[in-house]
Amino acid sequence: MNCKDIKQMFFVYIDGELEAEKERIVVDHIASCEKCRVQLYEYKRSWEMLGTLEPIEPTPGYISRFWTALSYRLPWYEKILEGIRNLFLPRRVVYRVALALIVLIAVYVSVDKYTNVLRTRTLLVNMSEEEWEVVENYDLIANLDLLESLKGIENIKL
Amino acid sequence: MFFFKSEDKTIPYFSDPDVRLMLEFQKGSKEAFETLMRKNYPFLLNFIYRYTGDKATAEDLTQEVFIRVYKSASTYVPRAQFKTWLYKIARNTSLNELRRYKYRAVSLNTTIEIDGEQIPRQIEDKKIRRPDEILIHSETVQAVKRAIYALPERQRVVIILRRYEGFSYQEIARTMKISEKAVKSLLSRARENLKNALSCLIHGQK
Ligand SMILES: [Zn+2]
Repeated sequence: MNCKDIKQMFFVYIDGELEAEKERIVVDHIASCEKCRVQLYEYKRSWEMLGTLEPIEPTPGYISRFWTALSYRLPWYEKILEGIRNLFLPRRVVYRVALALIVLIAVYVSVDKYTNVLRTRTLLVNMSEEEWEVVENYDLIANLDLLESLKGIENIKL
Repeated sequence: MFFFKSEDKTIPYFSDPDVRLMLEFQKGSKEAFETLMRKNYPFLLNFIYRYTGDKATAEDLTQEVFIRVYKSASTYVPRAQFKTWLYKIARNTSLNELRRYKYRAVSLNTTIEIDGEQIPRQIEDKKIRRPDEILIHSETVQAVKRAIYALPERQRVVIILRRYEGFSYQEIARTMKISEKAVKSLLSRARENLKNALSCLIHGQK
């Protein structure tokens, strides 16, 4: 095997994942080849050097900071949902409750309108003749003042 | 081979405890989300720190990643290991941020471009070095930071996931949506570049 073939196996060798047979080939080669020995050393050292970049720790309180940051970022309807969610209700239940509320309001409004119509109808049925007259002339009675003033104008013209 | 591939698609990743936590959060458990955060925040912070080279930026971006995770909970369907999904979001978030602000934590003057690839130049501050152990250590850390940051983006991600996060080739491939062969190729190019960038220090310590 030439140097190029050996170089192909370097990384797997450094990772310690090379099969025993191939590993022996690499070891034998670098024992006799100065160029490859230096290269292998450089790869190995640079890989080890990466270890000097030690991990950093999160600054304390990162979880509460997260919740604060989140609260600024949510749109108003999400905040309301979040409020309901905090009552330990699953997300799906929250959506269902919201939907149920909308349906309830719609039903209430239509039932209310319907009963109004019914009430008016029974009133009309049970009215006496005099009451009918009042209702029929309601516009006339309401605008009596206006009619009288109009009469006055007519009189002037006449 | 084919058997395993088709099987992968049918497993809904329930064996992954983090996927289960995410699904619990989806059902409304805030505790599950906090557990997820406690488990993954430190790793993710370090991934982004090594990717951007700056601690404050890493803190901000890690928070941003978890905000994205939180917001995506209602539509979350496990299609991968939680880890791969999370790091995918982390990489996108960091990349967007760097593009948006053209943020440079470490000076890029230490790199030159050859064949569209950024190759780190030799580290020039040789004369400042003194035989002081601590100084050499911090100098090495700085050089490593600079060398990682000088890598082309994909090489950088591969190196960080492999060297620091302990990802397997398969996990890296899934996180980056590339083949395992491409992962290996990127990894060896990254190692070559790092070797060149650090060669001066390697021989200085001999
Ligand atoms: Zn050789």
